[in-house]
Amino acid sequence: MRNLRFVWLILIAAGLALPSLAAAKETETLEFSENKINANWTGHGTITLEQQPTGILLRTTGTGYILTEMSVGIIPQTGQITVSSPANAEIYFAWFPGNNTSKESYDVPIAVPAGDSIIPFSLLQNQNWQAGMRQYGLVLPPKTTLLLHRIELTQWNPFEQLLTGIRSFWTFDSFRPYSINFVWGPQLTTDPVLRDIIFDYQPPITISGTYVINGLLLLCVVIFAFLAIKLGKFPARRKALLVSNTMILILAFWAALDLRMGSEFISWFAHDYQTYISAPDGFKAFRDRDRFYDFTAFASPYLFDRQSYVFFATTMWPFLGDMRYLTYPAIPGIAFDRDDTWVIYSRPDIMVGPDNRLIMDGTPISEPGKILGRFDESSFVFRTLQKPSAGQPPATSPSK
Amino acid sequence: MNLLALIIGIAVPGSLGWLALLLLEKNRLVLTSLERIVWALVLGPTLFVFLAFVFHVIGFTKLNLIGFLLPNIVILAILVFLAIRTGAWAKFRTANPVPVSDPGTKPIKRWIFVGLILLGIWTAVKIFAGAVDLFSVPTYWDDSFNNWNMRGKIFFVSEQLELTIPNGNGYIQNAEGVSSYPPSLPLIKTWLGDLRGSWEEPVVNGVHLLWFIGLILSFYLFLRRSETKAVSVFGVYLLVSLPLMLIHGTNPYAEIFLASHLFITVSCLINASRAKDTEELTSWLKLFGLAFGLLLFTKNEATVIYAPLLILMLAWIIREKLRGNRITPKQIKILAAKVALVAACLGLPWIAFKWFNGLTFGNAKSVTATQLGFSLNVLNAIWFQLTHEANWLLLPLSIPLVIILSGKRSFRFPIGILTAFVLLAIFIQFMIFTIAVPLHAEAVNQTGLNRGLLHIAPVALLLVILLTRQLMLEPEKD
Repeated sequence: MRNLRFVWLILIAAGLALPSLAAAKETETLEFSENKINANWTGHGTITLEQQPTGILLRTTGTGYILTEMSVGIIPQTGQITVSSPANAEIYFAWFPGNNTSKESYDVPIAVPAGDSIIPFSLLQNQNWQAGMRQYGLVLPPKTTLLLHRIELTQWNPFEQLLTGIRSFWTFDSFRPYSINFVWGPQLTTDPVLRDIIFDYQPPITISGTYVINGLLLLCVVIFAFLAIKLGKFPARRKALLVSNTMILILAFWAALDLRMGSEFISWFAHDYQTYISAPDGFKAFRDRDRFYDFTAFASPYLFDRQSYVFFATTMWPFLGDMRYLTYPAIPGIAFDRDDTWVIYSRPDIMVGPDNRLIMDGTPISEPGKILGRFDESSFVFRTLQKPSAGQPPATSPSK
Repeated sequence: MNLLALIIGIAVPGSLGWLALLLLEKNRLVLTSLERIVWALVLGPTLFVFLAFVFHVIGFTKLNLIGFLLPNIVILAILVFLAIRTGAWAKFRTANPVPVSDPGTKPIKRWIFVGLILLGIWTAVKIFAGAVDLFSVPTYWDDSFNNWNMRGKIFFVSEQLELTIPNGNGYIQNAEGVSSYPPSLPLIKTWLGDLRGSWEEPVVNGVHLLWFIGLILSFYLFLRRSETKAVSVFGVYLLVSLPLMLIHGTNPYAEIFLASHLFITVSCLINASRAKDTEELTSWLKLFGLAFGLLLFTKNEATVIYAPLLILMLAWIIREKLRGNRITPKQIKILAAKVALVAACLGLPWIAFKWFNGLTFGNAKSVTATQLGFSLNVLNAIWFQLTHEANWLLLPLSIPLVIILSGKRSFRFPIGILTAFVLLAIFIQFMIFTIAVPLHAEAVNQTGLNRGLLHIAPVALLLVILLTRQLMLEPEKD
């Protein structure tokens, strides 16, 4: 009984300690607005720095760096920048490792959208994130302009890391073209930012949960085998003990993995149901194909009496093969000199010009004609007024 | 209408399959009534389109509704006549149910019962979700719209066995050599389209559920021959829990189509190895002949990988039966001739057709022209796919574990048949991807290996269950 009370006491003490652990997250904030700058920043390369009331305006002609040597005092896993940018840009958070004086630097990419934004990024994307930071800052590619307001670097405490690890195990991939060939399965990370983008990486850069379970299982079997040899007198009984323990363990891990993978499978169905199966006509969006199948249903009536037609889509794969199947016996192709019907799916660069010809990037690509039906801004069916004559190939590639 | 077309479209070939099975086992009925129905639903459609294929390539029929129905109704009538004439029908009507051992006399514990109910519900929910998706969403996967469904639709429109797929003057990148795949699956879709009167996605895709459910039921019924209901239900849970199995079972792909045929073929061999007398052995081996012949008409892997292995296992069984004096050499000769005849009648026409039309032998790529070379990257990729990904949950680890724990017992006859088949099939799969240069990329890019393993996964899981049961319930004595 005393032992039991002691266990309870430890559990209660651990429970009480949790909030203090949770509060132990450490964040270093680097400010760039006027009168709030708390570090020495220097520009390197072809970059100009201009102080403004809300931050530092950075402009590059070639590649430019803005760096500081201020000690952060922590080993951060996550960062976050607050910026304003007139256009989309890809910049990098870079650091020179603290454990040596080499000139080699490490970096992680940050996609900056146009406008004001707060962008989290994970340092765990780079395997050298634990190397410490002697000097760090941002790298901007040529011809980049942005107003930098703030950089925050965060080190998560063990409790948060554990919680994120558990949550990451239950973070699902979506149903993608590769899901018919393999599934990544559960992934483990201690970084909340990385958890949100686990499956944006192919393959994921996180630790495989399946691998960890396989390893744990194997380790346990080795321990069971060792104990069975060490403790038992009778070989057959020892083996029976080893077998039953191993099987119980396999089944327990199997069930846990199945719960994870089965839930992911059902989440795919739920997504399909919401976005496609139960969505009203005209609003059906299917996985990565978006509104393609709605568009095909729209375009097919214009093709029933055609043997072939010209087809443009955002990409060749998978739309071309899928279109061939869905509209067969009408075949999509590039017979500009023979086919009078043009099916255009999601190509904002293709439009009807002033002389009623289709133009792509300003170059006419068809005989004059008219739009038979428009699906949306960039998707429509077009037919030439007369059979096209030879020699009308487009100046550029038929698909992007 | 779609559902009606699907039901009729499965029931008609199913009755053909049912009669074929009954006639083959007429001397000794070895299948249970439910087993015969399930096997008929899996094998029947393949037999149905095989007959339509043969009559079509001879030039008698087109691939339209009449072209499918006419030869099959003629054959069906002949089978009915034979079933009555040979007494198979009467035997079926009067025969006692096939005895299936039932070790489940002891009531199971309440917590196990509740656990099984929960696992059963969980399994049913997953299958239901996948089935709704299968019937409701458009054709999404590359191999479906470039091969299986595309060829079926071409046959449906042209009413002929077209071997080329139009590619828009080369604009469309064709999946090269897909016409070398047996046309069985596309032909089943063509038949359903003809029956429905139009090409309907829910019908031509929904039929794939048949092979998944057929595989699950075959798996359950096989286990029930030697295990309790609880173990058999748990086996089904394990089968459906394999993520890639569930995904393929509820999507229009060909792997479960092959896997269900392969499982039935292997079942025949294991049951034959357990046969107690010559008549029972004869029935199982005749059924094997039918399943084996139809297997060759499912996918190319069946001819190149599984057929040689199955023949090897068959040879082992015959050797053991001869050694045990369960059958005489003379009886074996007659039986082998019968089995070979059934298998050849079903398997050879397609192989001959390929030969005459210059179609490749191999998985869309010719095996004879394959360049050989070892790749370490492939071995790394295989290791990664088996240990880092959740495709098979813990099955890859469980197979070596139970075999090591079972020791020599796992290779003793009759369970050794299963062990040897699984290990050799896995080895061949790995070897092909490791040494065939054109397949290196498929293993590294993860587009081929797991799909190959899908065929043998049910058999491998069966091995794990049977060996585990042996380890737990029949431990070695001190």
